[in-house]
Amino acid sequence: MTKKKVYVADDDPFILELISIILNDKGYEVITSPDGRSLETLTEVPDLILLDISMSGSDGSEICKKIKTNASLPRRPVVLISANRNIQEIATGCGADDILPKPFDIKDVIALAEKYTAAAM
Amino acid sequence: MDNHLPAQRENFLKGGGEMAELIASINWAENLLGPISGWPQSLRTTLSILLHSKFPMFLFWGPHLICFYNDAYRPSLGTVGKHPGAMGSRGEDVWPEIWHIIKPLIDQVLSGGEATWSEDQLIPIYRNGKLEDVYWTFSYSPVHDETGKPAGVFVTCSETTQKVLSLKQLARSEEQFRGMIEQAPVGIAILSGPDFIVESANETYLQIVDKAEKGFVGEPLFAGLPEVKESIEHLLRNVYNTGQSYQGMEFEVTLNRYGKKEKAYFNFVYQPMRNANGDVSGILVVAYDVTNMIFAREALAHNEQRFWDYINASPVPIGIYEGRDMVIKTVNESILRTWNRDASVIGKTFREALPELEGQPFYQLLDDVYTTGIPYHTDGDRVDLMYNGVLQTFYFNFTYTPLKDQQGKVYGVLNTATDITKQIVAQKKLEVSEKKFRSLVNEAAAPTALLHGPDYVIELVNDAAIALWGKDKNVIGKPLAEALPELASQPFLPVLKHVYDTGEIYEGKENIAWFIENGKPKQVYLDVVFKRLEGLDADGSADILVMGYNVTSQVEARKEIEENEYRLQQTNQRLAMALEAGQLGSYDLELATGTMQCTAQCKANYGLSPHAVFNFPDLMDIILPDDREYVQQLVAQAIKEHKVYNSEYRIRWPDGSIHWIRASGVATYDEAGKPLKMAGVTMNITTGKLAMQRIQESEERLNMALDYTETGSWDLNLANRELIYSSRLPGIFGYKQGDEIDFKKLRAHFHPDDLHNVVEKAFEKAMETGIYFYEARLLRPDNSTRWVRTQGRVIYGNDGRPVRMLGTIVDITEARNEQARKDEFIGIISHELRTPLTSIKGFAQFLHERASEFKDEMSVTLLAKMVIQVNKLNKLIQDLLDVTRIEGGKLKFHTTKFNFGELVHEVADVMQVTTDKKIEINELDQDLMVTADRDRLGQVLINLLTNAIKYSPGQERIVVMVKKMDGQLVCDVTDFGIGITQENQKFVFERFYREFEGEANTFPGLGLGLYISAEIMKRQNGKISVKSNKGKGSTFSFSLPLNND
Repeated sequence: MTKKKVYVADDDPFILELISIILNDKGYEVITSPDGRSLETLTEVPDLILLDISMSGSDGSEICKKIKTNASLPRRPVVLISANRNIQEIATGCGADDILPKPFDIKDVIALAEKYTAAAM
Repeated sequence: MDNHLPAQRENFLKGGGEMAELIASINWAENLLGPISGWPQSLRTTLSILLHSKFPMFLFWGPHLICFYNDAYRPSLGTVGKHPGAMGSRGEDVWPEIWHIIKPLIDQVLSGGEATWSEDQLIPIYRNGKLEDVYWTFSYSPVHDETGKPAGVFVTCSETTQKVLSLKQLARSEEQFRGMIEQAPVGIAILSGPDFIVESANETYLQIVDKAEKGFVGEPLFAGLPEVKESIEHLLRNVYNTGQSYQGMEFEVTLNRYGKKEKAYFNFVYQPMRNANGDVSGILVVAYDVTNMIFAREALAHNEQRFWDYINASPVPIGIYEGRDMVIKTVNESILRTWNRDASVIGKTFREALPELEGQPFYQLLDDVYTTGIPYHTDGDRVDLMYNGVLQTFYFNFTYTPLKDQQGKVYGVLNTATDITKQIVAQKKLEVSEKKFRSLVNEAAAPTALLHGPDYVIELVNDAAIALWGKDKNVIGKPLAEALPELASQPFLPVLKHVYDTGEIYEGKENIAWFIENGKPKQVYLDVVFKRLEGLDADGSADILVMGYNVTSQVEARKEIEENEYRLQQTNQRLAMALEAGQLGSYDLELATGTMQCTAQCKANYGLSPHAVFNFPDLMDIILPDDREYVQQLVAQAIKEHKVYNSEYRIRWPDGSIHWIRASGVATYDEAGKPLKMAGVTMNITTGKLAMQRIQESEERLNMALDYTETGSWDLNLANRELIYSSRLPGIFGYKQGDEIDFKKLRAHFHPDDLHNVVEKAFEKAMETGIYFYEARLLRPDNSTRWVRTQGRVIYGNDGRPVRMLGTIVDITEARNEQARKDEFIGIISHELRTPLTSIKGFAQFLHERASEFKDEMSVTLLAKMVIQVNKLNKLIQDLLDVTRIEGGKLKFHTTKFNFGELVHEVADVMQVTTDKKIEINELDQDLMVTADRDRLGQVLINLLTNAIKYSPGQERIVVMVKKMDGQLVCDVTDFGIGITQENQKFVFERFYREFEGEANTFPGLGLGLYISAEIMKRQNGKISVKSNKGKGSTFSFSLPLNND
């Protein structure tokens, strides 16, 4: 049984570490990135993609838009992470599947991961 | 006898005429004188002279005064009388009748020697058989004899009787002439000289010209009668210059006489009068006033004309025929029309003019009248006359009246006639119109009835009348009083009787009448007309037409208006009382004299007793010199420009105190526009003025303060948008001091986005709440953008309506930039804070779970507390972020429709974790659905619960109540804690407000929760409020419109 892969991009290394610990603990394989650029070079497509909106040097909502509009990429759920109150609007605008407002409870992260990888299991 | 013969031979008698013969024939021997031969030479010489003179001479000679006389004297002795006996007789015997007169003269001559002279002396003598009055002019002179003594009296005389009598007669005739002139019925005046001096004027003349003799006679004519100078002076002048008389007939002049100026007419003659040299010296005026005659003649002519005009214009045909043949002399147009003839019939006989009457009785009737002198009159006789060649039938009333001359002999006939054809035809039409009349009554819109006879039997009545009376058709045929018994107590029946008796029309406006309808009285106002119809019915009684217009609604409407007017009047009276109570004095100033009528209050305003004399100059005296000219100018200006005068000025009362008077007035003018009076009111405004002064002083201080703080103040008149502003205000809008600015101009400088959304909304809100507040952007003339904050309040008039708004405006751009920087800073800070918090919280939760797995109880407890504290910290940061967003207008909402009750339970669950107090939920209405931002409403609930927990130390419960009320969702959060004072309740929703209780016991927090909650509720069309009792607890409530879908 292959581990479900969750891709997380955030410019705060502590957030990356926190999400990794939480999800690793639940048996997920977590791929982290400080800016989300590595997503295009991945050899294996992750089952769930978590993107912070405002990262230094890149914008998660732009990456999300690319994923959702590029037909060559396989369709994968995208969840936007942000401390921005307007996260819901931004998510709707770029076609993201869900949001994870900061600060979040760890159970929210687990619930999201379970929800969007269930079909893949 | 020998004496006789020698006498013949005496020489002195030769050629001595008849009287010498007589002397010679006398037997002188028997005479006292003795024979001629014995006569002295002196006698002989004297007689010789006497007898040979052709001038009448007489001689008394000798002591016996023997008489001698010559032929020239003899006629004076008459035909039968003294001659010839006187010759040689004693003077005493010859002149017994006058001896007493002449004897003294003779004696005087004989004794004194002086001759006498008497002229036109009346010496009546006996001659011609009677004593005649004889006038003499005579001289007695002495004749001396040879001894040188007077021996005789020589009388030369001439009888002047004829002369004297003719003179007397002349005088008498002159007197008669004057008398005649005086009393003549014609006016006579004598004008003398070129100035036409009125020498004399008779009574009639004076009367004609209506002058008294005095002042007229003796003066130039035209001095007395200047009005006729123009018309007659040239005539008089012509007579005077040429000597030609002038005669005027019916000459018209205008005279001032009998107290008026009137036209007068005269027949007159100007006759020149000449002096001894034959020159014209004057003019005799004989004038006869024919004015009355002329007027009478004119009047007669006028009357005659009128008579003929009358005959001609008369609608009654009139003809006059003369002679037995009835020759047509005069006809008027009417009779010609009747005959259908023209004026050519005049001069023809009646028979020639109207041949078609042959066979009808008129020729005979006329002849009968002519021969008998008895008039003939008939009514409605039929006459057939030719009309346009056709014989037609007419009906006439006509009269033949005989005309008689002064002897009573008939000389003609006066024919008058009236064509009554039309009346007869009309009579036939009457029946038809009677029917029409009845249908007219029936169809009339106004209530109408026809009443017959003195009992006013209802003969006709229309439906409208029946409806008005409230009766039915059964009233027809009944007397009015029976049909409408209620009329007995009303005034109409007597009025009807008057109309019936006199035929006068009665028209009554708004008569109150009442009728019984279905047993109930109803009152109406009626305009009524009662009219007796012309003519009588067959039974000899008349009909009355009765019409009534129901004007009840009009009258009632008008009465209501009158009532309102009365109330208005009352109000005005109360206003006057109010003015009195307001200590308004009134005055009335006579502008020409400066006299003033002042009410007692007016005088009191001037510090005077009610009886003090007080006029305009007195007022000027007490006005302070500084104000005097200004008041005079205002008064003069108001009068000149027909405007209301208004001023405020200071006066000095008699007690020396200074008072402020407010005065106003209005001038009145005569028709020519000249000002007559000024009336107005005065008020002592000293108290208000002093207060105003203090206000002004404090205002100045305030302005200084405002200037110092760079705050502009303003005062806006809401009626006319007039704006009063302080010196700082223009600068705020980017203008220099002294630039022309007004409300409209300033308003245009607001940022277009803010003008409607902020400024105007704030204004609307101010109209509701009385408080004006906004912060908005200005675009200055130099294109820079500035933020301003305006704060103000509404000033209300006595009627409670907003009148003015005043307040301040301050440039808050710098403060706002400061705020923006602060907000940005807070934003950054909170974001930067939150990022590590997120990971702290996450790690803590992860550890918390791990500790639970490893049963590390202590770690579990501590990590749980850590998570709670992180959440609190997170919330504080969240609040700070929200506040900055609110301030920046960036607070966003995501509305969804949700079940409010569920939200309450969720939030309560979360909050219950943080407190020991029991959060009780009392959900009176279930499943209330609202459309709002769910998270934001949750935030409000969290804030309210957080506060409830925080401010109720020691209390055991919090109550949340959810209910539906008036279509709104209402949520109350009630605690039983420290409560909030009434005073502070209005501040709780302000930013950074925190409740304190004593100095020691302060509560933690930024004081942002209620502020954010209030903003959230406001933005979602909800409301939030608080009820609280200090020490007992508070209830915070918010409400939202329910979603009814």
